[in-house]
Amino acid sequence: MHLPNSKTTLASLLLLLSFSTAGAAEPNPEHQVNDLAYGVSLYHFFQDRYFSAITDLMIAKERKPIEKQGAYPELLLGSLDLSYGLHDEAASIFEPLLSENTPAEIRDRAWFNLGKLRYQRGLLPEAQQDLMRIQNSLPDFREAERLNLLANIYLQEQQYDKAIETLKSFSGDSTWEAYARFNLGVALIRQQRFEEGLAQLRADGQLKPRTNELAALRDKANLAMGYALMKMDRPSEAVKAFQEVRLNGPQSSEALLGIGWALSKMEQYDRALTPWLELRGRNPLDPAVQESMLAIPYTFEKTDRPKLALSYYEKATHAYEAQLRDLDNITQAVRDGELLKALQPANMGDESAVSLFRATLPDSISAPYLKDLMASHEFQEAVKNYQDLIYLDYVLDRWQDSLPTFELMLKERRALYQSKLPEIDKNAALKSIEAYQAERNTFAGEVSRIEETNDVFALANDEERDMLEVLGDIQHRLGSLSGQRNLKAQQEKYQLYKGILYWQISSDFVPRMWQLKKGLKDVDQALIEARATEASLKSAWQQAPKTFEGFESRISGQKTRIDRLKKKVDASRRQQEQYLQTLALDAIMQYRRRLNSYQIRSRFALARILDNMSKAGTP
Amino acid sequence: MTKQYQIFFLLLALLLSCSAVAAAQAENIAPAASQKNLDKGIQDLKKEVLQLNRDLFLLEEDLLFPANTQFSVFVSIDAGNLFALDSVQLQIDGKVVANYLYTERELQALRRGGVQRLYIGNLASGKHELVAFFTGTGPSKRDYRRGTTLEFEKTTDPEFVELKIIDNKTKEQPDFKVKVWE
Repeated sequence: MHLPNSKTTLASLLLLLSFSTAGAAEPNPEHQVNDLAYGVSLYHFFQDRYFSAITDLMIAKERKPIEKQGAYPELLLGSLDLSYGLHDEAASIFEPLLSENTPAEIRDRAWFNLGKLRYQRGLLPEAQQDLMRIQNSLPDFREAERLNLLANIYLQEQQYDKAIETLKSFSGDSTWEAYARFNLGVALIRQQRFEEGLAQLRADGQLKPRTNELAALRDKANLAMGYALMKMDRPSEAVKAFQEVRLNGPQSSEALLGIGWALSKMEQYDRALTPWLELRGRNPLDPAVQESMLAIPYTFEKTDRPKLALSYYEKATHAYEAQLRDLDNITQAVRDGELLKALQPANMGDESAVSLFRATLPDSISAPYLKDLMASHEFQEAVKNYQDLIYLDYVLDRWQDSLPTFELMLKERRALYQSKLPEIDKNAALKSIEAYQAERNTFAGEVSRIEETNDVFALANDEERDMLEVLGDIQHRLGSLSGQRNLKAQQEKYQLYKGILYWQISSDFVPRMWQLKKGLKDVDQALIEARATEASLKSAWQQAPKTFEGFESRISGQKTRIDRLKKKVDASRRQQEQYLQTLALDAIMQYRRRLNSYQIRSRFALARILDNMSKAGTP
Repeated sequence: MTKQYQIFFLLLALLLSCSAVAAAQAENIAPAASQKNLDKGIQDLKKEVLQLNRDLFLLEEDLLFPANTQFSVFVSIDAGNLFALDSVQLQIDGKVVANYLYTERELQALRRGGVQRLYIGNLASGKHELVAFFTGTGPSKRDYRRGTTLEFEKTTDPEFVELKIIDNKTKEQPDFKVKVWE
């Protein structure tokens, strides 16, 4: 069931974030994502999930501040705070953005948000000043909203001429202008400035609506115009205004009632009956229908048809009685919490339930009696707070359920650590680092000796080593045979071969030495890395108990916080429930008073007609 | 004033008072003092729960997804006129780790520039393979299923991968790209 009241759409429009309302088709620098955390926050923001979007930005601030998005993350956070009802937080974010160093576009947006925030708090002169400081950088749709805000400030300050002047600044076809005009028109009529008020309402009453919302506003303007004309004693013009209201629109019953009264005022009583009789087939809970139940017999009475009047008064009396009986049940249901249950989201974890509720009436038997209340800003804010509290409770429950899992995980990690500890102590690979180091030192000493002593043969390769072995064998044999034979020729050959081999190795000595030193360096590097790994491992194992303790204290600290907050949320929720019930019961009481008044009038008329008939001797 | 108009003005008064409410309430009316106190209390509570929520998210992440093994996958849509996303399936090293079916509201949020965190988990250092399958409606309203693959080396730093659906206006086809964030 749709809320048939333009106040609802207006209120919800005004609650829209002033961050950006641009759709997908419009490229917007605010939506250009250069940082994932910003993009994730936008994702939640676009779904009206303000709590999550704020959390995303808070986590980013803690982990890794968003640096590649300019001032937009701050603007987003301020707008989110504003939408989530965190007014103090929002103000503290917008204020630093007002400095001369901030780009004009961002600064104007900050002024705009701050002005809107102060307006919502009833700080009208301050809000007006903020909104007047804005230069020319606002996009058209936001500029229109600014003018609407200004016009509303002037209306509340009863500066009607300034409000009229403000309306002249609107350019293009703006929904905000239509709203501002309607509000101004009604306000002027209330001030008895009828002609000026009519002029504003007439402009809205003749607009060509491109949306359902504007069509509804057009109906309201025509309706208000009709009633104003009636008050000005211009019934024929009033009929024309009422006839402009759509027959199937939410204002049609009031319009039909008004047509009837206007015709009646022109003493066209039979014609007046037509719209009223049409109302008989409509929703009996509609105040216009209820009033028409009296208007019909009144007209019959006035046109000397007392029997018909009697019959219709009786019908009206019965209808009012039945409705008053129903109201007893409705009142009891509201007291028993039926309405509260209907106001709770179907899914407790749905943090955007409030915005969905704005488009529909809750599924409560009391809802049809509370349409005006439910369309009011006060009630919607109260419901929003109520649903926010329910969501807070859900969040706290979820974390409360998660903490044992965290504790279990920590316990298992600690157990794993304890079981692995002996393995680490015994780990052969870790212990062998020292042996490798000793080997490396021996090797390094040998390299130094070779270099210092220029021990060329020490750098022989395998093949050369074989040859050296053969030469050594030859030298040994030559030594043992030296006294027996003349071995001069063999000695020379031996020297020649040894010399060739020496030359061969020594000519490659430098590169071979370089290769050796490089190998040594690689060993050194590997040992450094091994030691670093060992140190890191040891440190991790040594630090592990401290890390576990850190997590333990973080978890236990949160437990206390959650418990404390849960109590506060429960208390606030109970208070909010009481407040909502009081609002609903007051509205039902008002409804009852109106019905009682109709019923008294009806009974009085019945008595009067019966009395007259009895005096006239009519059976 | 005749009785007729007494009745009529009962409704007129009601209507004009509603209109006046519209004028004033259109924006706002400062709530009564007691409700103001309650509002202030709720504002403070929201602030406190937000801080707690932040602290617990940080704790959860530190405990369950330590920085050296943390691996996250995100989804974004640029324009999204050539492909209406229905669902995504994510596989890492041949194992399905996430299946996600989108609501219209979530799709709108993606199309407007929002980025969804599809998955967060742990991966050991070394080489890995990521495969993502996108299912939805492509150009000419035909059912569309496309996959994209990324082979990557996980280091000891947290790894952030973004799966991007981009309109390729030249080919009149959607492109599915993978971006590894530094």
